[in-house]
Amino acid sequence: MTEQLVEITGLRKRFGRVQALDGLDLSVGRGEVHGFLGPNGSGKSTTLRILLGLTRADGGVVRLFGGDPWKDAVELHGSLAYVPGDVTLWPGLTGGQCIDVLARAHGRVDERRRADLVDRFDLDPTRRSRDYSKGNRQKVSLVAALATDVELLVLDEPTAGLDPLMEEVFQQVVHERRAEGTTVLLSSHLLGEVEALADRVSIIRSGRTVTTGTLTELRRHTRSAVRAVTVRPPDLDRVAGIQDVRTGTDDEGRTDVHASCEPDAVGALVGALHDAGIHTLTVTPPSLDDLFLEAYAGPDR
Amino acid sequence: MTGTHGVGTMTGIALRTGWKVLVTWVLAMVGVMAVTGSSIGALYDTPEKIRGYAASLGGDAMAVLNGRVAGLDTLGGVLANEFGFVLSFGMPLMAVALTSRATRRDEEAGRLELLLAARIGRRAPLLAAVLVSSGAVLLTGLGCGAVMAAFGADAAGSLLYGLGIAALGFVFVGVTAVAAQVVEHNRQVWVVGIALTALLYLLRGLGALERNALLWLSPHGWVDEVRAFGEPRVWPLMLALGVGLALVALAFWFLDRRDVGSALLRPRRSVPRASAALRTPLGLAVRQHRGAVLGWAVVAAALMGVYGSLAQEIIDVILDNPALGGFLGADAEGLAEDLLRTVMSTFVMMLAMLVAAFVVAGIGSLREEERAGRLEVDLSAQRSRHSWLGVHVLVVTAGALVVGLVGALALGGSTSAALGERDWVGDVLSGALVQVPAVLVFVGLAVALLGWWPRGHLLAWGVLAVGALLAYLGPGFDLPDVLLDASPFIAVGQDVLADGASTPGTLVLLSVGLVLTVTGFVGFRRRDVPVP
Ligand SMILES: Nc1ncnc2c1ncn2[C@@H]1O[C@H](COP(=O)(O)OP(=O)(O)O)[C@@H](O)[C@H]1O
Ligand SMILES: [Mg+2]
Repeated sequence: MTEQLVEITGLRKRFGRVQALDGLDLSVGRGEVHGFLGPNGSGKSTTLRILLGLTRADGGVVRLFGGDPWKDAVELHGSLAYVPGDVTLWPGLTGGQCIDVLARAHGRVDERRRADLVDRFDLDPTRRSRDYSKGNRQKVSLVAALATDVELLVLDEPTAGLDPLMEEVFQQVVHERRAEGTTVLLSSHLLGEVEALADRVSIIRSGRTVTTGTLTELRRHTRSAVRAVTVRPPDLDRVAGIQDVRTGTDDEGRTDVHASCEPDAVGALVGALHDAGIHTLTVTPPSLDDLFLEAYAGPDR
Repeated sequence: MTGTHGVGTMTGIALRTGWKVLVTWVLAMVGVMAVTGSSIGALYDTPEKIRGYAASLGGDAMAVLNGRVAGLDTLGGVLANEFGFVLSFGMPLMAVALTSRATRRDEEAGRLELLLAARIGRRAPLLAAVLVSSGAVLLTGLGCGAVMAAFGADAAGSLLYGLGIAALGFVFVGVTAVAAQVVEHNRQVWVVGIALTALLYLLRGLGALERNALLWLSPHGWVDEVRAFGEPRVWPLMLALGVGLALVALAFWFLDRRDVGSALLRPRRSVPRASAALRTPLGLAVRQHRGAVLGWAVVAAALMGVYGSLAQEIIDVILDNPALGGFLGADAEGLAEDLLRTVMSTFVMMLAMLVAAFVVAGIGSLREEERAGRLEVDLSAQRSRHSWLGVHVLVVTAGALVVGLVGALALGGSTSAALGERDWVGDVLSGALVQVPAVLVFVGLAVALLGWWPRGHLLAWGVLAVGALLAYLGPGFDLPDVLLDASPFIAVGQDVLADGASTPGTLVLLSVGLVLTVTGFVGFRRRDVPVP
């Protein structure tokens, strides 16, 4: 069991009539890049703010580096850097000045890394931040956080506004930091980004954790879609691990079968179809997209 | 003109998105004129009284403020003079507000780009903005003229004066149209507009005082020189119109020579690294508030300087007033000085209100830190909430002392200069010191709101407004002392220059300020960040 830098169980938070968090669980082990996925308004930012002791939880347990972030915020902040989802930098300061001011807030700056990142993110540090585009402002926040020597990076939807080229740079840098042993908690509403970076993923919806695990584990939980036309009606009752079975008859009297199937049950299902005389067969492999869309679109609670 | 396709659409959009602002400006200006008209009409209801008006003004000091208004022996002239100050700033700022919001503001927000991608010509948005703003200033001018005529001013003169008002506004429509091409941010358009308004106003004042050519450098002066209620002339009006048109043409010329979203002046570059000072919390806070401190200090200096320079006029008015003169009797001079002291106490009180407004605005700006997400970043560092708030409150309070000190020095200095007899600086400074607890109450109030009810910051402005109104109007209306003492500005002591501080009042205010501040810090430690 690795050391857990973040441990959240049963987290609840209400804003007036909105139940923003409703029993959310999240744990992040040392050294991993953890993808924190969920649609807009699902409670990602609120969770991160509670984790940083900015917002107070209504219920549940929150541990950051083993401590209570609300009570011991100042001490715990010594070894993390945070990039909020939506920050307007000091309009009168230049990008370079903003980086220094932010980095100073995060902790100790690695000067070599800072110079390298300014270069790689193609940032002009002499322009005032009010003259920057949204993407460039986001780069400033990222450079400041990524250039600091910290154990944990908390990034709230960090690539919003970045062009694909810069997103690529961002991913490279996160990989490098991970190789050096930095832990990263990365919130996002984009599956692709998380798939490219994360060791483990937690998917939340309406303030609740829907599923969590490594990408491989998640894939294992998703189902293959099977579609077949057989000469005779297949006997599917003896196959365990299949669901959503729909059968029909086509105009030539053959049986049309749709089903979804756990990864381990594919063999047994194909066997049963074979016994019924396969005419056509397609098996669509499990996709994280489906899982993700399911989490997005599924019924409320 | 080519490239103006869709100007009708753009005008529609400008009106649809901005009609509230437009109507508010027009109604406010015409409304002020109506209030002026009804009160002046009641005060100066006979030709004799009107003829006495000019004599009551106290000469050159008035020329600096309002220019030399022609026909002061007519009702129209009196109205024009009374309206002069509002006109001098109201019309230019109205033009800046209306023109900038439909040009640079929309361009900065990216809305213009969206529209230009549709079937809208490149020049249409600017043309529409100029048309709408010009229509608004014309409407204001005609409205003010109509109100004047309705209160009995000469009709032809009123019309001409109204057109003069509109012409002043039109010049600033042109100024704003040009500024919107030259600088990249709406904020900067405003800075250019306000700075030019103040500069041209001052030029007119100096020109009118010295009766020299400086007057002709300022559109404010051109309006005066129309002499609507004296011997009217139309050519200064044409001059204003011509300059306005030339500015608009220049704006279009600039527009054709730049890209959408950019400006003629490329943004300046600056240092790529933060200084050691800027990297400290204190240095950053100083940097954030210093612009406001500077701005408010300039306003305090200007306002107090003008008040002080009127000291001689105040004494003259007191001595010349037959009613008062008889009342004062033999020792008129000495009593006049006592009265002057009371007036100076009122000026110091107004300075305290100004400083309190700075404080409320300064602590209110911390809400902007929160909304912008910068507070979150700061607090995710190894910084306690108390240290964050403490540093900002410290800087704002120190800034308040600077603004107050500058204002007091300006008041004391200009009074001494105007009277040329004895030194008022010491008196004014000690009077200002007495008002400090009143200001501290507003530090406490603003901090308490930030800690417990951040969305309720407006309440601090409300309390300030009520406190100021009570202190300002209360004595005149003979309100009971209990009510007067509810205003911090009175509770510190009435007539602070003559009588000094009220000890119980000072103690109560200091305690209230302290308790509120401490309460605010406690609340700020316990609440959620950010509150949107
Ligand atoms: N300070 C607040 N006051 C009221 N409602 C809030 C506040 N912060 C968040 N919410 C609400 O809580 C829910 C979760 O928001 P958030 O955590 O920002 O979601 P996400 O970051 O996943 O988009 C949303 O419905 C949002 O409107
Ligand atoms: Mg969010």
